Amino acid sequence: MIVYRITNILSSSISIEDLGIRLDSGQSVIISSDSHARSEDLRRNDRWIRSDIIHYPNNVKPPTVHRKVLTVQEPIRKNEPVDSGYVRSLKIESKLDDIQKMLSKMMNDNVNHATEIKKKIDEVPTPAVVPYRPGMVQSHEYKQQFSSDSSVPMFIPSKVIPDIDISGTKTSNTEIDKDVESTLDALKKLRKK
Amino acid sequence: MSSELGIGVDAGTMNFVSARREGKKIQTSRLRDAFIDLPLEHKRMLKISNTAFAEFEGKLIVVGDDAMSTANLLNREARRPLSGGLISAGELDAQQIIGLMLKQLMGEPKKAGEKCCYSIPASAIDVRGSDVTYHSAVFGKIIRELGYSAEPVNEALAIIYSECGAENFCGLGISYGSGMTNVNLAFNAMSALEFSLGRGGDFIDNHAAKAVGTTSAKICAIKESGINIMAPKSREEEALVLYIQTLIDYTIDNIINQFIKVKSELLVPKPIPIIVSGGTSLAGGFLDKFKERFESHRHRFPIQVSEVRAASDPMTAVATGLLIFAQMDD
Repeated sequence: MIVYRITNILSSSISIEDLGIRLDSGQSVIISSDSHARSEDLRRNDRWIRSDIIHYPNNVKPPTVHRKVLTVQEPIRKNEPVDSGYVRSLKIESKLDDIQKMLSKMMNDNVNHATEIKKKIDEVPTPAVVPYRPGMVQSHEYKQQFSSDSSVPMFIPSKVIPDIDISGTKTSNTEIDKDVESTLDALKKLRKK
Repeated sequence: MSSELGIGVDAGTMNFVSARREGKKIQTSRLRDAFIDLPLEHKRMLKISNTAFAEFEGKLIVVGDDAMSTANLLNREARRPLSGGLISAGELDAQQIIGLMLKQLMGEPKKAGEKCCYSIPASAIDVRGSDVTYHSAVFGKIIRELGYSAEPVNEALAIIYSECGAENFCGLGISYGSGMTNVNLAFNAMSALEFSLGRGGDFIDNHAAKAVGTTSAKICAIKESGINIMAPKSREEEALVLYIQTLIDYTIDNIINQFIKVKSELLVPKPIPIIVSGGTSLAGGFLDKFKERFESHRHRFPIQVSEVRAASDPMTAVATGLLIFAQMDD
């Protein structure tokens, strides 16, 4: 559901693009307007839109904001005028206050959690070794930098691997003839130097 | 350390490869780093086609090579837990799927806390804000959860450990992976210069596919079906060759530029070999094309190169090097 507050409808033609609404058949939009006269404007567009507009006769003062639910009955083509020659321009001022309220409530709910996260981020020590600098990064620095020290807080779930079985999955296996022992001896000798 | 303890795991964008010692031989296992999720209604179809699957959070998941063939069958793209060499930021199930894949590939440790060296790329010099810390930490966490102790090792350095024993572990290793290309200049088994580029096999597939108006999956299939780069036979193969050559030139240019930047700190007193490795280098004629392009740039190359050669097995060279790392006494 898309919700807009619409103000300042001046009259005459308007396209769906101008409304900022891209809907497929069956989707709905609630439009709240602070100008009751515009409900009449929008209601006229029933060639494209079935209007469940709360309609107020001209002699009844509507509430400041009233809501209209418009359900698109067939796909609206790009740039197709809603009602050519009737509504000239329309300004979408902002999303409805209640959405903003809802967002601020969500933010309030999360603020404690966010504070906790920030605290944890602040606690992460600055690495002694810069992750990468061009050239001359030595392998022992790698060890140091990417140590398996689990005391560094990371936001990774404590258990990552789900309890499901994929043992039927095929792997392709090969056997290599390689003298690992002599390679290890050569490395040992090199280290002693 | 017992001679059979220790495991190397190459965590690539396209494949996970593990290496273990068994007697005097090395056993390697490869698992395609891809998965696909399907609605439960597909269970019967998967059973009929003898495809392994598991139920996960109300869906069926197929992992590995089967995921690729199932995706092709259903005309869908397989999901990839890694993208551009790192854990895919947009793939919400990535960590769990990687965990499952590694569990399948590595199995139980032979001893609690058995050492596992796993590959990590260097930061990419051509990707803004490239950082491997999170990627490395997540893999480390998963491997420890499997009961191993985990140690990250630069991917291209592992190639030198696997392939350059005869040269006293001196060489320039280039790992042409799917998501990135990793480069490491090692001298006496120490990393002297390392960086990566955010281009690899996926770059070739995506751009060649766009150029000829097909899908990258199809281009990838052509590439893996035995193309000869030196003699392209179709429009698609021609596009592939063009982008492979572009990637090779891009790599050589960047190696030269990085060498120039650290010239004063870098002293390579003797000619060293260039080892070309990685799944992308398996395309037929890749080494010949690399040699051809290298010769045209050799006069600009700031160090002496004794030879250009392919790794003994480009698909398993990184995992083998990591196994050697894992078997080294601390």
